[in-house]
Amino acid sequence: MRAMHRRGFVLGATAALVATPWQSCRAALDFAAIRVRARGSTVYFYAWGGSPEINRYIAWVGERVGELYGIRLVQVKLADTAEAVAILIAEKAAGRESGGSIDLLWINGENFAEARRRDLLFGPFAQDLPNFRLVDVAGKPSTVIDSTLPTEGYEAPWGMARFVFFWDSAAFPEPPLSFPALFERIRARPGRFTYPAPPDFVGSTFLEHLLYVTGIPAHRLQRAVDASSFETWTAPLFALLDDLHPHFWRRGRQFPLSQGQLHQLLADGELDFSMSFNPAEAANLVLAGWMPASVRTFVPAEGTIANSHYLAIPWNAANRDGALLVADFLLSPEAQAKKLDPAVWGDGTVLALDRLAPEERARFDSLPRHPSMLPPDVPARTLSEPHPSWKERLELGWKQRYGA
Amino acid sequence: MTASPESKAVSIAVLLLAIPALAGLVATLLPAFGVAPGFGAYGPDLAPWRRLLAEPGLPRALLSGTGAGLASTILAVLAAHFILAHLHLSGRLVRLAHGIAPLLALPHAVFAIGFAFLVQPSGLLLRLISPWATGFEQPPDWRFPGDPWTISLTLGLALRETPFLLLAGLAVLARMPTATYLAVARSLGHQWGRAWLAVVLPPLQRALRLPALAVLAYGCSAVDMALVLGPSTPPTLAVLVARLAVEPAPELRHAAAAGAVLQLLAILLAAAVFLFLERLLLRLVARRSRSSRRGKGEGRVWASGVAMTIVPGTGLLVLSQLLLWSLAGSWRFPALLPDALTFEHWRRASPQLVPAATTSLLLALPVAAVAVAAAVPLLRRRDATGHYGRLPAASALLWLPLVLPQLAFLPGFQFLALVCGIDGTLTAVALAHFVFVLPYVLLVAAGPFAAMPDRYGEVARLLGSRPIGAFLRAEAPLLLRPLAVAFAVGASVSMALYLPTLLLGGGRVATLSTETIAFTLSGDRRLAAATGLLFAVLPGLLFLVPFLFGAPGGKARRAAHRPRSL
Repeated sequence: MRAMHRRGFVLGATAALVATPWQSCRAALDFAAIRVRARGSTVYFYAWGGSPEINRYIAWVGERVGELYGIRLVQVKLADTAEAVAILIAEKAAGRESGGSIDLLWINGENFAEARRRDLLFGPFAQDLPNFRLVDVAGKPSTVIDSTLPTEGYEAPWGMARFVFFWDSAAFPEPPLSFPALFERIRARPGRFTYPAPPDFVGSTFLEHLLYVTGIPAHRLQRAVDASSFETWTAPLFALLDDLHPHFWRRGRQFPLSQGQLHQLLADGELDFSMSFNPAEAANLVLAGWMPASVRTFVPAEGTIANSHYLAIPWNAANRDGALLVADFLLSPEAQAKKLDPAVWGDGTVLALDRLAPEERARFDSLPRHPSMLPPDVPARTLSEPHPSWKERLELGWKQRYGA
Repeated sequence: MTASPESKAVSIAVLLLAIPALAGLVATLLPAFGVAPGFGAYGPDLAPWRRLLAEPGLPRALLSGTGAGLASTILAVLAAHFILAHLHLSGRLVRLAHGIAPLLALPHAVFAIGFAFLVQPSGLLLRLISPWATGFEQPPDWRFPGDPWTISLTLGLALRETPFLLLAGLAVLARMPTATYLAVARSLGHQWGRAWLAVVLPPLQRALRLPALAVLAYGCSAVDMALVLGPSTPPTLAVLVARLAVEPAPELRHAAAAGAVLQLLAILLAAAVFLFLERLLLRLVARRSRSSRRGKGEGRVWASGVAMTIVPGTGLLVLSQLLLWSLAGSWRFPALLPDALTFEHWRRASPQLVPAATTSLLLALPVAAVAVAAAVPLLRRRDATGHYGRLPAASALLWLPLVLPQLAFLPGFQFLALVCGIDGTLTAVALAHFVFVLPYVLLVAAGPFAAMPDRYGEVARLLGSRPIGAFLRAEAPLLLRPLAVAFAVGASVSMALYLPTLLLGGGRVATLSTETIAFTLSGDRRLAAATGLLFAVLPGLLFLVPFLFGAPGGKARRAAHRPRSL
């Protein structure tokens, strides 16, 4: 029943319908009162801290919410968002129903699914954020459907991610423009390709692309998978990896631990390729002096996975008011435009630009472009994020085969 | 010794100090056997063990982690002995060693990063000989560091731990009338090297046993160094267990608790092997020093020379690479030096570095001060068997945090902090740090206290001083320097603590240690280098504190020796 319910909501057209039921059934939050209560408070924002550029953006957000609302924002940098879910589970077990350590949480995918299953989140709240009306729910259905799960207002969309590959154009001028071409390139230049070891989310997402490439129908990927059917469906995928791994960096016997380490290997000249969930990240890294300027971004013709990432508030957040205000600011045109700047972060906006006032729209239109980021005219075929159970089993299956 | 009120007070103090360690341990052990009410485990049963055994690659993880710990400890002990013997040839070099050893006592994580800068395929060592000697225009595709035989991890651990053993050894030698021993042995016709083997090495190694076991326990359970230098498919047991411990699902965390117990058993086994080998070696040494056959000892001289060069050389290269990377613009293989230098990375890092350094000091200084203050009365009441007061079991508990993997305590601490409502606070982190810092302080200060002749205090007491006055007036001045060393070690241990800070701070307490690892895992080598360098310099500065209380081999040491030669 639940699985069917989920399947019903995967199509973009139904997304707008999801937004309505939980909008009407409860009183909206009173933001005037919230602003008064939140003044002078501290918001602990638990957010993955693996990117110095993103950390700096969050520091800028801290300055702005300080000016606007008198809120002190503290980023608690996580190596893995699962750590935050672990904290919430521990607090629930210890019976801490209020005064929790996490006020605001950057989350998506299986962590959101886990947090919802254990009832660890406050909500629904997303639709009550004043800036939520600017979100492009119809055009960007993943703003309310997180890896096939309807968010039901328990997380607010923050940014749009799209999986991309980088290559060093100094090594060869043209990238492989399809997955078979990429595999051909890997065989031709052994030792120059790898991916971060799952459960790193970039590494796991790379593997999810192979689910599509090895012929599992898209609609099957939207449904939960059990152990035995997983083995059947993924036999071609693991056969492909068995075949390719000997041509990988370190012969596929060792993998970088994070996308940052993968980038560093490209920067060091040990690899020809890297990958990211951010189409502007290569530009960002070139501008930070980390990557050679010859690095370019591409997507294979089969398309790549696009998803959203979100903000959630734990059920026991000590400063719910402050968290709501920060979440709302993060959805504002000002914060979203700043985030889209490739020199800052380059993360896609969740807003519908045609709904913005002209002067706010100008913030987006005036953003600089950079030769290292994904060109805007690239055919924008996107793949949906599979049901979280696929990623879970994929990570386990990978660990059993290659992680031991 | 009669049970004076003082010794009763000490017993109570020991008990109080042992409670947190014990509580943490129990709160970890129970879930390992399926007892964690409220967390979905109402055992006792073996479900956590079954889940742990189902982890892919567990046997290899166990073998590689324990093997690297044991092999690196043996290497470090041997290197320390060679260097100590070598240095002792010239008294002036001892002073030099005191200067170098703290410089080399880099935090583990920082050392691991810097060591990787040296030995990775795009690292300094290959750049030095590329492309002219190797023909490499691109870094070779070698599986190193991170090799499955844990050679890189073993070497890294051994090189990092040798300075620690050197420091401990120098402290021991400073208290040992080596010159007298050696003079007597030489007057009996032994050549210098043989005399050293016969009269200095056995007591020196006995004094180094506990530090060596601490090194062993650390080596087997290191997470920060193994993340950087260790294998990844599978990782070492410690990394595997640490990953389970941060999983959201309770059943995985219970499996982590079981893993912590397994880790403990592995360390005990490794310790048994180490002690057996130590015994074998000492017996061999005794036989050789008794035999009249005259060896030239060239092998030893050669080995000493290598150890003398490699250990400080690596430390200096590591520091130079950290400095260069923290300032480097574009720097691709095989360029020996960066194309350009820039302060940009320091500027980028400073918003995080300054608060992290402040927090590190805010934790380390009070924790180390309290630990030293707590250690003094304990050490004064230490009897010949090494126990404090009348509760040998409780004093054994004080040592547990040194010998057991940190992870054996941490899940329990986490739970207790939650129950007390102090999780995620500086207080919770400081309390956890104290548990791990105290045994190091006791360890470092124990030698000097044991070497302190009782008669000073006795004389002072006979002259009418009360016990505290006798201590302050007669003994404390002589112990100031060792206590300052203990303080510096304690503070640097606190600064280096990674998992306790991460888990009890709930991520909220950002120290140089957590920030360095975060930058390293995020792959930004330049920010990691900048953070790591600061992280290395701060504890280094702390080691200058002992010099305020006189140079080594100076007043304190001479004073300590005088009674024996009288």
